[in-house]
Formats: sequence, C-alpha cells, structure tokens
Amino acid sequence: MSTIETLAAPVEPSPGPVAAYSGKKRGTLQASRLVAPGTLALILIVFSVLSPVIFTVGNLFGILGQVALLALAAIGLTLVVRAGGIDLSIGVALDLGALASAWLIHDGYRAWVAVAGGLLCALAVGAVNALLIVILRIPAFLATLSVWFAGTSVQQLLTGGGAPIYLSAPLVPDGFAVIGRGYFLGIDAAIVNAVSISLVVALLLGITRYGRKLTMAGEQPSAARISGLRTNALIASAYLLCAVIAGFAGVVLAARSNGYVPGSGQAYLMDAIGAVFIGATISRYGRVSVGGTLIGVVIFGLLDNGLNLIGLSFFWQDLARGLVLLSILLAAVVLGRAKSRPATGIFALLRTTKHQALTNTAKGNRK
Amino acid sequence: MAAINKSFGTVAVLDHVHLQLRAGEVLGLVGENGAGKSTLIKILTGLYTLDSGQIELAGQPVQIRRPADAEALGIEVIHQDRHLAGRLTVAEQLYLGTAKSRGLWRHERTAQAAARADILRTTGQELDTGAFVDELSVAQQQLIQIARAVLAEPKVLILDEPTAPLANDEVEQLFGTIRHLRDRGVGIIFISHYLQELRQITDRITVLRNGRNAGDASFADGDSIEDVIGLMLGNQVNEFSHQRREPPAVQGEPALELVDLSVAGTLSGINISVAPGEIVAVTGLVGSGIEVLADAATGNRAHTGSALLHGRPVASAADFAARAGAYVPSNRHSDGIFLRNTVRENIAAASLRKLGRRLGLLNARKERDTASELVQRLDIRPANPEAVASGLSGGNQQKAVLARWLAKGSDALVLDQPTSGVDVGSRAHIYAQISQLVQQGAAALLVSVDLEEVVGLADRVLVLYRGRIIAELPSSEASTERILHLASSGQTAGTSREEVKA
Repeated sequence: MSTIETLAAPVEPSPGPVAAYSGKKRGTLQASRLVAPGTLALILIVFSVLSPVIFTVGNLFGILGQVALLALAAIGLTLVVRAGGIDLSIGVALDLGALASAWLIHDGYRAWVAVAGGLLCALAVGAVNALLIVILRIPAFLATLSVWFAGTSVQQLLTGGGAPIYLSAPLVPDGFAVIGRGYFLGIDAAIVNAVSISLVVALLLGITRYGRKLTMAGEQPSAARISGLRTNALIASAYLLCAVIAGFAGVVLAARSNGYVPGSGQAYLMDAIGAVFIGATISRYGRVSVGGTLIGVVIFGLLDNGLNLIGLSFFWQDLARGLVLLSILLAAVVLGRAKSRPATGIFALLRTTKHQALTNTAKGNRK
Repeated sequence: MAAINKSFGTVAVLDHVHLQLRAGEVLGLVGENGAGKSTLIKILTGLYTLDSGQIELAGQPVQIRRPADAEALGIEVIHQDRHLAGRLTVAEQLYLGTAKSRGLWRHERTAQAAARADILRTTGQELDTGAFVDELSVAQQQLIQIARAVLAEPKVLILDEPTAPLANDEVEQLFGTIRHLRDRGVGIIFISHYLQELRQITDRITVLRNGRNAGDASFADGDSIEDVIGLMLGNQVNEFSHQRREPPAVQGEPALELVDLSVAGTLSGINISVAPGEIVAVTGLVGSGIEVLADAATGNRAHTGSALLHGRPVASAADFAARAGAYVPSNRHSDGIFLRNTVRENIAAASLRKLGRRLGLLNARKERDTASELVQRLDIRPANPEAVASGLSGGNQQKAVLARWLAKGSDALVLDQPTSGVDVGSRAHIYAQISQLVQQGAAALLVSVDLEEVVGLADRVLVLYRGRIIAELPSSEASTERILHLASSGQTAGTSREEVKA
C-alpha cells in the first residue's frame, strides 16, 4: 500500500501519534457543563448560611429520603429520554404500582405477590406506551399524554371514584413494610432503593452494550438501524424499563405511606422532567445521564427543604423551583452558545484553546 | 484577500494566504480537506473573523465581521451543507427573508408561479414550487440554494462543493448559470473536489495546502489535472493507481443478489448479482431511481421483489448487518456517522458483541485497540480514536463509517455515493480499502453518480435509466462518455449492444 504512504506523507502535522492519547480526554470541559453542579453548591452554601440545621447529617439524610421516590421516577425517565423519547405517563405507572401493591396487601396477599403485582401493573403501562410509540408510530409526547389521561381515569374507576386505600400497620407484612420504611445499616430503605436502582441504571447505560446501543438508537435512529441495531426493540425496552422503575417507586410509596392515595404519582412527573433536563446540562451534548439526573433531583430536594427551614411557606417552593430551573437552563444555553462561535471576552477565559479548535472544526460539519 | 492569518488556539489554520479574484472570472479553489478552504470562505463571509491580514473589495479595504456585512457587500455563498427549512414550500424557501416574503397577505399561487419562473431562469430546471422542501431530492434542494443566491444579484458568488449531489446534466445546467453570471461581471469562487469540472468551468485555480498557498494553476494555460493534484498533495499521485486488480477468476455463488426488485414510483424490476471478489457499480442520473436503490437493497426501504444476501432474503436492516452485510449510506450526517460519539464508538457500533465482554458488557480496551488499528490503516485524522465524530471533516467521517464495517469483517458491501463531498486524499484511502476487501473475497455493490469513480473502480457497470437497468458494460468497455450517453439518453445503441440481464 505504497499509495497510502505517499498520500499520508505531505500532510505532516497530524495531531499527535496514536499512542499520545492515554487516559480519558476530559480536558475539554466547557463552562456550561458546570452550571448544574455549581447551582447545587450555591444552594447548599446559601442555605447553610441562612440556616445552621441544613448541614446536619440527620437533615441531609432526611432530604435524601424525601427525594428518593422522585429520584426513582427521574431515573426511569432518564432511560426514556436517552432513547430519544419522553414519558408523560410515569405518574400513571407509579400510581398503578402503588395501587396494585396496596390492594394486594389489603386483601392479605404475601409481600412478594404485592410487589410483583405492582411491577406487573406498571409494566402494562410501559407495554401500552411501547405499542403506541414503536409499533403504531405515534409521537412519544402524544402517546404518553393519552396514556396519562386514560391512566388517571383507570385509577378512579378502580378505586370507586378515587377513594384512598389505607392499610393498618399491624396487618402489613414485614417483608412489604421494609421496602419503604425499613433501615439498612441505619439508612432509610427508600434511599437504599433509589441508590441501588440508580447504580444499576448508571452501569447499564455506562458499561453495557445495551446502554451504548440505546444511546445510539435514541440519538440517530436511522444510523443505528443501518449499523444493524434493532432500534424498535431498544426503544420499546426503554419504555418498559422506565415504567417498571416508576412502578417500583409506587411500591416503595405504598410501603412508606401505608396505603394508596389516588393521583399521588402525578406530582412526580413535572419534577422528574425538570431534574432530567437539569442533568442534561452537565453533558457536552445535552445527553441525559443518571449522575446529572441525580444532581437535578437533589437540587429540587435541597430547595424545598431549605425553604422550609428558613420558614418560607410552601407557596414559594414552586416559584423557587421555576426560577432555579430557568436560570440553570438559561446559563447553560448562554455558556453553551459561546462554543458555536470563536470565543471572545469572558468566554475565551473560560475555555481551553484545544476546545476552541475542536468546536471550530466541528462547526463546519454541523448543519 | 492578502496575507490572511487565522489560528484556532495554537493551531494555525491559515498562514499568510493570498487570494485574488477578478470581476468576471471563475476561480477554482482546491485543496485536501483540512487545507483551509472552508475557513477561508468563512472568513470571507463573516462566519469567522480574521486574526490578521486584509480583505479588499474593488480596491477598497473592507471589514467583514458578521455574515450581514458580507451580504451587504454583495458576497453570496452556497454552502456545502444545505441550510434549508424542511417544512416550507419551495416558493417560501426561495423568498425567505426577501421582500417577496413580507406583507400580511400573499397570494400563494402567484408566489409559486414567480418562484417557478425564477428557478427556471436561474438554473434552467423545473421544480414543483408548491412542494415542501423536505419532499425534494438532495439535488433539487441544491437548485433552490443556487437560485436563491443568484436572485440576490451578488458581486461575488462562492460555491462550496455545489455539484456533489448533482447529476451530470444538472451540473451542465449549473455551469451554464455560472458562465452567464461570469459574463455579467460577477466574480465566482468555485470549490470542488472534482477536477474534471474545474477544468471545464474555471479560468484559474488557487491551490491551498495545509493552510498555505501551494500555487496557482490554469487549465487554459496548459496545466493538467495531474499538475493540480500534484500541487494539492505535494507530489504526483493517481487516485486509482492502487487499483488494477485482476478480475475475479472464479465466479462463485453471488454474495448479493437483487431479484426483480421494485420500489413504487422509482425502481422497477431490478436484477443485479454481485459475486465475491467483484465490484459492480450502478450509476444513473439523479432522478433515475439511483437514490433509493441502496436503501432498498439493504432492507431500509419497503420494496417488492427480493434482495438476497448469501442466498437468503434480507429481512430487515438489522438482518442485513447481522449477516455480514455492510452499508455505507449516502446521507452521512443522519444515517452514517454517530456525530456525538467518538471515533472509537463509531467504529465499534456494528460489532459491539465481537468487541465486548461476557454478560453484555463493553470492553473499552478491545474497542480502542481495534479503532486505533483502523484509524491508522485508513489514516483517519485526527489520529485519535477518542476524537468526537462531529469534529472530523467529511472525508474522515466517511472513513470512520467504512471502518465500522471493516471492524465487523463484512464481506458484502453496499456503498451509496461513498465519496460524495470527500477530498482526494480520503478518497484514495476509501478506494484502497474497498479494493483490498474485494481482493480478499468481498463483494461490493457501488451505487454512485460519480462517473470517474464508477469507471475507475468497477468490474462491471450497470446503467440505470428511469428506474430500469438499461445496459451492462464490462470495465473494458466502460468509459465516462459512454456511460453518460447511456444514462442521459436511455439509448443502448452502440457498437456492442448489451441486453438487460434477466
């Protein structure tokens, strides 16, 4: 192949030999990716100044316990968003999971039956989503929106117009109660559940072939299909997994609250969406990740808790959430936009030269 | 433009580059990908600002800081990538941002009729101006861009790879338009990898190499294509010099076979069989059905009839890939490369199982070893498997797509316009790899409108005309002129009349 050598020869300054890269290229950090972690740190600092209680171990674990369910729902949503979709029906999956398990416990079934029943009901929601989106090709937003509407009605029909189910504590089997109220090494079971599911999903996305394929299928479905990936199966699996994780959150909720209140899962949807997209800002490409989502979840948790501790009414909480969400996204957009043109002023100081060269060549290929 | 310098960080992309364009001339601008052509043009159009140097227009120094400055000075550019809004009609797109799109009330039909007339006048082509831009072929979208730029009545018109998606007769139309503009005193900069075209249309050529002036050439003054390639590369090379394979000795079982393949409205009754060790090229004008052939053959588009891979029908795109079929699609950005992934991840995409661990885990080390080897073999630049694909030039992205199938060890290749918008150096690498694979027993179906490529590479050439294959030429009889004649006239009359293979 002497041709190749002669062709390669004239263009001498090829950037470094192959052996030159060692370790991971994380030197190209752009400022927009630090917005979410920065906000988290800022909130921590502000509230720790305003209230001495916030930094106590007890309080921090309390916050984590409160956001554990949101974390579960948001982790499920992360999978779906990674697969290029959106799931507005996670609240339904969560509620049906809680409803089924509470009902089964109420009727005296064993703990594992209740858990399995809850997960199966949630899986059914995921299966409907997958059917609508993958097979019938309805846009994810509309498909899951209809499932959300329909699911809300289903709950009311099943509970006779929305009557809550209350479980009396002595009748609940220990095996069930421990899922929501137990302690493992002194840590709230809800936290343990959320952390372990997060870990599993993070590993799934990070080091398995499934995660790589899911990401590719989500970002460039036609390229993935041509590369031989079964995109339909991959995308369907994301909806199923998301629903099961949300359903598990529902089971934990039922065990934690000793009962089921209709519609209680709906509250998690908007927070979960917010958390997932806050998390997306830590990626160079706006790619959602488990770590980012957890940062988003904790930001919301700290905000609620801190506002409570400094004595503000909960009326203020949604305002604070909205403002924080908006400012994170705004900051990420402003800092991220700078990368698409040669840096000037303050942005030049924030970015490495290597990165400028990279994005400048990249731009020529972008549409 | 004089002594233009531009650096990105410590990398000097342009180093004292001079460019002179007279009114009423067509200047060719050539150079390998990464030579600085695009950067120079972006400076001229205000997308980048220059670090030092000077731009003069009609003797007056000018400042171009924003694209709006360039527009105000009468500098129009047709970019390589088509910047069009898909859900607008052709007429709306054509007049977007101009006076004709303003006002509260527009009469759609009048606008569409005007647009049809404008496009016909500027490009000589008929377009359905009420259609959505999305629905048009790539070539037709290109026509809109050309018409749009011409309607702005520029003083300087820059065309960046304008002919890449066009078929030969459309290129002729474009050249007619260019000559017409030139005669009206417009200065035209024409960037192309197709040196044949440059020979036809340009008055002079400026060659860039590694961000410097490598020299000027002029076909009118007797310079040859080899001279220009020599300037581009620094020495004399022939793209196809690697390629004098022996024709396949034994015709084995066909690796890839299309039997009576039809796609509603575009293709009918296509029969092609490709044996191992053979490159079969299919060519035709844009609009002859050539655009959908590769998609249909690889299970990416609904069709009747069947596509057989190693004797069994292709059930789906995934099935095609799973059975060692390789497909290099024509639309690199959406179908080929994973833009947000690294070169390593791109190369590993089709062989994750082979390059993985047990239990469905990834094996980054194995991926990196394979990727490094292929990066070197195909000379992908930057030579770093961890580089993100969106940062690579078109040629290097295409090499990465090809490397994906090399990593998998595919033995049946379907290549759809494999070198469209790819520079000469990368092309040679891609051709060399294809030839080598075929030498080792792979079968390749090359779908291309690039006649030089078809003639230079293929063992047999099939010509597509209005959805049917009208001729089959062995490589000894295939010449660009002959193929062009067949493809544009549909006449199989000639010294050796070839019948359609049943």
